[in-house]
Amino acid sequence: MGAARNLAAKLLQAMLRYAPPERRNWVEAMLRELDFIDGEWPALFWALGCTTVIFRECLSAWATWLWKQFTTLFGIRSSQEENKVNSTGKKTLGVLSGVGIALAIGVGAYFLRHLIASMLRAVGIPLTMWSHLLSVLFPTEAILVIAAIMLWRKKHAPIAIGILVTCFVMAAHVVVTLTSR
Amino acid sequence: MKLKLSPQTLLILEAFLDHPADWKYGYDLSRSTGLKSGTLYPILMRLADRKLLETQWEASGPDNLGKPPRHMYRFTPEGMQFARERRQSRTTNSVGLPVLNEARG
Repeated sequence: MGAARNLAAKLLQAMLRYAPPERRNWVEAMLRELDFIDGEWPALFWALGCTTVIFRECLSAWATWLWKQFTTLFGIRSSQEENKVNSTGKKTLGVLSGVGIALAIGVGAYFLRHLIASMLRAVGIPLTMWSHLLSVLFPTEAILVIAAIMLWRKKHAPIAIGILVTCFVMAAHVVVTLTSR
Repeated sequence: MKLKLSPQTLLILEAFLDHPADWKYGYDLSRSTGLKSGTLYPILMRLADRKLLETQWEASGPDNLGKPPRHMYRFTPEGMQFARERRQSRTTNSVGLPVLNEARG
């Protein structure tokens, strides 16, 4: 066995160890075909092609696993699962997701307010109530409104409603706080 | 059935339609279609995942004594029907041949 063929076999044997379990049968098949390929270099190119296939399969398996973890963590349902949930349930879930997204962004902006204040001071803008409001509240509200419009256009109306309602409540809270001072 | 019918997939479907009852090997398919292993196997995997192809390990017999068993592929009844329908629709639309020639390069 020449060096190129030897390398090809080694490459596919390594792939056999690292391939996703459901694809090992296929790697075994690719490896067996190697014995029927005439020539050293065609065998190596065959193995290189197979390696890219397995590499892509591994990436795909990892991406699927990551997505599954992400959806489990954030309670996102797949379209198949969504079909099982009735219409009202889906809408409620959408609105709650929207509320959750808006609150997460709002809380994020709240925690970033010191950083934003430092940045304002760094560029020479004095820290007043209005500068603070303009730099924290308005960008957050703008992000949320734009996100809601985009979601609405993409037919995710319940999530958009959830975001807009939370957005309105947060804005109302600020207005009431300011007027009561 | 949702399946991306690229020119390469069409080539493989055509190769299987030539002798649909026969089992075919990966390397032989690669040679007959001109597709590299990196293109051929993902298509075979997708076809098998969708139950359009059945796969089997070659049984050892007196003809292949001492040789490692090979993986073989052939159409399932659904696969054959699918491929024939696609061939028919291509013939009707008369766009199949240019696409296949393009895939062969």
